[in-house]
Amino acid sequence: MGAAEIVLNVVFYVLAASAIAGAVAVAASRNIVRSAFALLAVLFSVAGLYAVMKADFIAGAQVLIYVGGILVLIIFAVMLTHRITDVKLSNDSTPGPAAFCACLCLLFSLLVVVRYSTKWRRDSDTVTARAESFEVSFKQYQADGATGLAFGGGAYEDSVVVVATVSQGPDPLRILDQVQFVATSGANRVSRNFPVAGRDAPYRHVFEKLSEGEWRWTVRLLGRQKDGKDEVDREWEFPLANTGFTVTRGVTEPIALALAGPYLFAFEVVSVLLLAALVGAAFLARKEVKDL
Amino acid sequence: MIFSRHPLEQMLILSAIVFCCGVYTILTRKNAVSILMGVELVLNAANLNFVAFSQYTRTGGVHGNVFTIFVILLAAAEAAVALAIIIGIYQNFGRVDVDEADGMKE
Amino acid sequence: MTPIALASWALELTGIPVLDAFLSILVVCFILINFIAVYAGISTYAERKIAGHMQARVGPYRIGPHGFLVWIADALKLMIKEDIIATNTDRLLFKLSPYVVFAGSFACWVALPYAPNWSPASFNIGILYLLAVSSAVVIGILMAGWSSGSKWALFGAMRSAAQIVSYEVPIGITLLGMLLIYGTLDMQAIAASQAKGLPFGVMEDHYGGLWSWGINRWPPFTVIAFIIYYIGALAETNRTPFDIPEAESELVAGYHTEYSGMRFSFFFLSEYANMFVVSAIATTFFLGGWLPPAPSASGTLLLVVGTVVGAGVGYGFQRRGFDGFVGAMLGSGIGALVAVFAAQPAADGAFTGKGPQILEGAFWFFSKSFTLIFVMIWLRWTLPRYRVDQLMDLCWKKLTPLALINLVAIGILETRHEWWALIVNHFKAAGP
Repeated sequence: MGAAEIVLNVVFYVLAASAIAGAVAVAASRNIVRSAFALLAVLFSVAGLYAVMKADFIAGAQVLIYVGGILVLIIFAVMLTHRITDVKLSNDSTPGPAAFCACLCLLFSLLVVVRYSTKWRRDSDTVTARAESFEVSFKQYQADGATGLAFGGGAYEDSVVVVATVSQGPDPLRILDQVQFVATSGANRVSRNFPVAGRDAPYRHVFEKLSEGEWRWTVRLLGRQKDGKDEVDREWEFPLANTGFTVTRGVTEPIALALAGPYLFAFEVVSVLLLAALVGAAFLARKEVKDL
Repeated sequence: MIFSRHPLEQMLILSAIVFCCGVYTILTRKNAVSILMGVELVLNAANLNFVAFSQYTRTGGVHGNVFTIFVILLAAAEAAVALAIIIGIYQNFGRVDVDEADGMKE
Repeated sequence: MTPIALASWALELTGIPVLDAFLSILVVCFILINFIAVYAGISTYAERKIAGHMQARVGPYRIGPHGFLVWIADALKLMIKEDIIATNTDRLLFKLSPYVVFAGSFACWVALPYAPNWSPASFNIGILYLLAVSSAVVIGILMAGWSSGSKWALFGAMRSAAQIVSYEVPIGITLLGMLLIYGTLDMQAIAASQAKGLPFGVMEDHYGGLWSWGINRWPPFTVIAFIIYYIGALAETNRTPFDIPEAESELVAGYHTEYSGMRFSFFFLSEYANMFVVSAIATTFFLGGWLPPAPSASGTLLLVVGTVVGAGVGYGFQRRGFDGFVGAMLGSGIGALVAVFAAQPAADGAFTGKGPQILEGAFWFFSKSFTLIFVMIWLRWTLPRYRVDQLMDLCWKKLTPLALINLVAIGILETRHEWWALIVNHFKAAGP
């Protein structure tokens, strides 16, 4: 666990603690204004958690819309629906054992499902290519090394982790010396050589500082082949079709392409709905003009 | 560092806790604006789930993130209309207590 | 070599494994807060001096040479004042709100592009982050107004919050129009992409100096965008002519009526910090960020020559300082235009941001931002105040429609190739 992962974990736990503290304060505070400002803490913490998950655009949108819009509206509503003279507004609640037990049971069941009964699929798919007596199996992961990166999918940071195994059937004529991973994107090319460790040993490498764009993989095996009495250097190349990934800086561009692509209709419908909500809210909250 | 190798499950557990706090708020509060705050907690927990599934599984797309954006937008629309209604109730009844807004009951 | 990388490198030498990541952030924030405090102090001095000279008096004069130390005296006075908290207040929120307001402004300072490749925290979502964390200021203002326990504070807070939130709409729409031109949310990339290209999209490979800046990309639409943004920025920071919430004759002092001493100084600090942030965003989007006004050294020479000649010609016409100023502006523009054709930098001589160019970039960035702040101070002592309904009317009925028309116009102009291809294909298909 490198320093970056430790930092990320610490940040996650701090943000999680503040989100839970805020949520409990919203649920249990006896002053409604304090509830509203505890909601502020929750919203900012959730935005921080989105940033920890590398969904930076959503973190920005969350603060902009939720804090800058919805929370301001909520605080205005709190201030407009109470007498101004009491500063300590009471916030009655009817806490009973029923609601508390129901929520505890709900929480318990969710935790059991999440932690113990569901096998979450985080691992990557494997691509296998065969040639002569060699077989290359190949997986790719996101920068944290554990979340699978689907082939053709997007990496939201500029690094990718590759895990591959090379196995060789019984073949006295061919000897394997090195394995080379090559990633190409247009004119950019990064590669990494590994000396052969042993049969079926996995090779793992983190490719860093990749530029933006679409990348494709090629695996080359360098070895020697016995040709009569001599040994000739040979290369075997596996182009590994349909294995690739896209590097974007953050999640902004993929979201934009999705909103202008598959989700275009939904986007337009939500725009019309927002317009209707705007007009409706302005109408509902108007002050009646009383005839004098 | 208990779950450092399971970031997906970390996020899901956290969102479950926030979700249950939100449900508790909705169930027990009497002030309508407080109930709305509980609804916002529930929506935020759901959004955390969406983004966690999109970022921490090998889906190969940003569908979870796009759904989150839509949920945020719709939460804004719903909060605006709900608060307009609450202000209307206040102007008519003088109180925003949901237990007392029973004028249409028998 | 961002500041955090530098501080982190320095702290790694101490050998503490993971703490250097957190300590480096603390060190950078400490330096930045000190800079904000000194800047805000000098800004108050500048405001009083400029106000004085515009009102035909000298302003502060006695403490230090020409009154230069009066801001230190003011800061000391505020620090040693008695901390009064009224009884009918919500004490926790009362104490918390100055920090929330300041946190909103300070969080914007860390993301500004001060020099090429040199910004405390450079995000992919730069401008979205800046607009988002400015919302914390609104919440802090509401918190302050509510917890003061007085209805004047509450009215001031609600008016101020309504004003800020309303003017975020035209600001957002104008910045969206400019983002259509730049194609990225990253502030450093936005500043860097204003090095090349001339107005109306011609000659996109030439370094144009001040003719490539954002405000000159699609005149008149980008100029209108700048004006709308600047008016909105005045309203965002509660400056005159939009200072209803804090004007003395209106609501005593609005949301910070009940605050005194050190707590009040935080609000004061946040207002000036906010002024710098909105000026810095205007600089980055419209005035070229950290880019110099001429693309190369010989270009600078041409610019200076043009400015001097223009100033002389303008002054000679009417013997008035104002005409000399106008002449200087025209002359510098013509000088920069000549520099585009005569003094292009070599490919590696362009502004790439290595070494001493960081200092040069920071110099230009701060000069432009401080010029915009000077204009804000100038406007404060020149214009009368808007009434609150006139303010809202201006925002929703005049600036927002204008900003939307601007957005559509810039959008059409930026996609002109596709429109042209569409028209050409239509006529080709319907041809002979």
